[in-house]
Amino acid sequence: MKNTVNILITLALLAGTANAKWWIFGKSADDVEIKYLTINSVSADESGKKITLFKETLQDGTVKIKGKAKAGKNQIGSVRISLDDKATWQEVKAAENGAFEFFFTPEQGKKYVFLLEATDTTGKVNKVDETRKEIEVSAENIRGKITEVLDAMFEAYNKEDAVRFISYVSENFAGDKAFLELAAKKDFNALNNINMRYTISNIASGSGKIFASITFNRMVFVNKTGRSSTDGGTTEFVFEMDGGKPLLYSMKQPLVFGLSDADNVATGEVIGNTASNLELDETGDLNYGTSVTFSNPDRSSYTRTYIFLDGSLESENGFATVLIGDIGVDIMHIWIKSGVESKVISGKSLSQVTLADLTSGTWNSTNPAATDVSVGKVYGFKVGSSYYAIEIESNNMGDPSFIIKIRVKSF
Amino acid sequence: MNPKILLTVPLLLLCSAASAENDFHMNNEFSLNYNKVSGPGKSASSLTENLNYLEVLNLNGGGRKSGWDYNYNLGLKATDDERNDIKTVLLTNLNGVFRKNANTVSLGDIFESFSQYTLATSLKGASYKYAKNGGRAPEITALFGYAYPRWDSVWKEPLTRTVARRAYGARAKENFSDSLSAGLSYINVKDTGRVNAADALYDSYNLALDLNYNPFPGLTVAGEHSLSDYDENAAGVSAKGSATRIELVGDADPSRVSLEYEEVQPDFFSALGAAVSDRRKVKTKWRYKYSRHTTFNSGLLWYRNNLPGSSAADTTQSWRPELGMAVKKIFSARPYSFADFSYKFDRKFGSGSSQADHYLNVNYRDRFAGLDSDSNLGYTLYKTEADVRDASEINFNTSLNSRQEKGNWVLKPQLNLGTWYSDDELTGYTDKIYEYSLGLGAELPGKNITSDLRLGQNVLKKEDAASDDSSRFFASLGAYWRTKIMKYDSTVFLRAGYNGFDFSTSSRNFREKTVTLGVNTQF
Repeated sequence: MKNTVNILITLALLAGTANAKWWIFGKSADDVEIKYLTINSVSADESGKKITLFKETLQDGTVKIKGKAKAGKNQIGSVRISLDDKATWQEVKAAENGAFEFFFTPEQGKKYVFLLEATDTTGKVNKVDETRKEIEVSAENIRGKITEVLDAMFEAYNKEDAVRFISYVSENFAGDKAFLELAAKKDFNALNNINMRYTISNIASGSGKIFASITFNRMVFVNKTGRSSTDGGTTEFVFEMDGGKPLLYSMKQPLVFGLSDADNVATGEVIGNTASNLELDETGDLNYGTSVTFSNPDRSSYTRTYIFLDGSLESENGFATVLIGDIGVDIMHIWIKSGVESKVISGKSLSQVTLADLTSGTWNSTNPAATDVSVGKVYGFKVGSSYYAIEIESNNMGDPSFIIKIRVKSF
Repeated sequence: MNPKILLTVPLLLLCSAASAENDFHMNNEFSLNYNKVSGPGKSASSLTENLNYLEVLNLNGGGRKSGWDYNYNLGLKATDDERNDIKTVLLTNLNGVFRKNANTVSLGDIFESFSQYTLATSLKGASYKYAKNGGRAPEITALFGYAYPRWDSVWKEPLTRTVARRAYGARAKENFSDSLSAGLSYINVKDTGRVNAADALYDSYNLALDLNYNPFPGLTVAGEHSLSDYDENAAGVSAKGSATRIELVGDADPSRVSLEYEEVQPDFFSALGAAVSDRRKVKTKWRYKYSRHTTFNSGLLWYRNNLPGSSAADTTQSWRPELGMAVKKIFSARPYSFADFSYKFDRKFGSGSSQADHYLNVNYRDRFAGLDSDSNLGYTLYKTEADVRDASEINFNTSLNSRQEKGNWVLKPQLNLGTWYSDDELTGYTDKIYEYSLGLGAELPGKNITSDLRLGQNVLKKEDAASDDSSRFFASLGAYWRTKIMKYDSTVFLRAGYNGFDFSTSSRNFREKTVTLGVNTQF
């Protein structure tokens, strides 16, 4: 750690020496130049010709223009700014080194055509037209803008358009934009028929950032297994303004984007999150449980039972009596060991089941626990103080020889 | 403070402000949605059946009273579709901002972004800021509030009740010179009111120093160092940690170079900030504009977890170099031609696993005889030991778009074709996806009508006989008419869609039909 910090500090000091332009190649140093120019902290180089600002995100309702002019060996004599396309000019006080700062309070809905003129002591002037920017303070509520960006992000994600999706992510993305970009690409390779919708529950803005809380629903198909998953919940985003455009700054669990690298993409979890945190594992499958196959080539001689704790399948003599495992499955029944409790979870797929579904409501301990083993049925189990849920993935209804696949999720 | 005061005070102030109205805007959207889902596999649908409604209202305004400039926002949402919201009626926004000279008071939904590690989320409460432009006086912010994600959590609505996360804090920022500024932030968080027995309750604080330094034009050095101290009483954990990030950005044509370093200790905790704990990260990026038409991008990201003092688990390290090039007018005779190429390598090892993934992507855009074309070819190679993932994937997408004017109509036909091919060496199976869609956008600019019709199919073919093939046929229509309703700018919209999902296991088949009719009004 110390070595790395030392290296970074050394680099900064080296960079700070006079005329240390180690990243500039082929640049002329004569003439009058605007070395840097920021409009509300956004570099003029990085912003487009038109800059739209939102009153709610302006600090103290003002636009702050900061920059520095340079004229090779000469000094900067004057700096002037026009906000009406050269019709009038305002003198701006510049420091000896050419640095200047300028504030104005914009009127909502009015368009300002900004130009900057810097003159050195020999009368040379910068390329004024290259500084031209149209600045407008939108009358639109920031909520509309956030809706627009979220619509575009959800659409790009639904269409698996990684380039468009990542264009709405800030370079300062707290989890790191590089992680999110690769995670989105992995998501798109692992999933198809992504169908997500959202509605906004809360918006708050200030200090150049905007917070959005949303309720979402989604259905995805997993390429690896051909299975679908449906779930929903509430999550939160933070956007930061960049040249009048909100860009994604951070996301929390439950994630809706970047499911393949949740550890590096999510920076926190929504308070009171009751949704399942859907994630894609390194095999490209969803993490919502383990697939278990019950097969019984000769029903009369033995059956298979399953132990939740270690995920093992056991052979047991007889049928309908579960002594070693926690549950046994055949084409029409789910059998349980004495002491195991069960419940039916209706109207939800396994990926939608949360701990709250299991900690509330009543349990029963009668055997069989269920007499419906059709595809899509979901059941909850309580073994001691541990909770589990299963979903029937497939049932070939073979008698006496059957193959039944279930997916198991522990909580 | 009683959380209900959070609601009452801004409401009263908002009513008072509204009585001296200067500026008032409304945006209202009401829609009726009818969904029908049929088929034996209908439980997999994410739609709510039958008729439901969604009403979203937002009021905002501003003005000046007694020397104070003010702005306010009020948002409401109503729905009978639990998938849109678990509550039938909810307050989505309540916020008032009052400014006089250098003083700003915010009430209700407040978002004072102190720094990444201390405060980067919204609160329901109050904040005060003193900020004087142009001088050397420090900028001071103080706040108090609750980090409830929703307003109905404030009055402990059973359906949306959460742990009460109370926060207070302050920040001072000083511009020491034109090129150097620094901020000191403190935030204190205390959780109360456990909802579930396993809920973690934190009692914590974060202290952070951040700085921004421009040693000379075009070079920016920014950084933050934060300390945290927390007690968590469910697991009985108390810990202190720190997080540091430093960023150097050199930005002057033709290059932009950035170098980032971040270290977040395993015990660092930020209840309201944004941090990924137990991570050391170094990242470099270089963008170089070689000519007016050619730009190169390169980057390297390295990170590791399991920093000293962390768990006994193995360390995971990752290297992610990348290289890219974008060329405009790649063929001089083709002014609209554009190509970009990128290669990313993702090497990750440790914790008993070793992964090396390669991503290659080529994109080409051009215009041929009035047709805009956009084609993308991607190749991904996944290699994860041992016996986890060993697969190569190729995807290709191409689209053709055009814009034709026929009388009063503007027509925008579109064709999309796509395929995805995955060869999994571990299982020996090859899976394929085929996609096509046809679209037609039709606009009547004189009548302010726009519409978009789209239909297509996605087919997943699984080689593994034990896995289902699947197919989705879809059709959608969206039509929008901008008009005036009671003198107000409005948009009437109709959206209809059909999805037919078919699987090898026919018991999974289902159909979705959806129609939405709505109107958006604003002034």
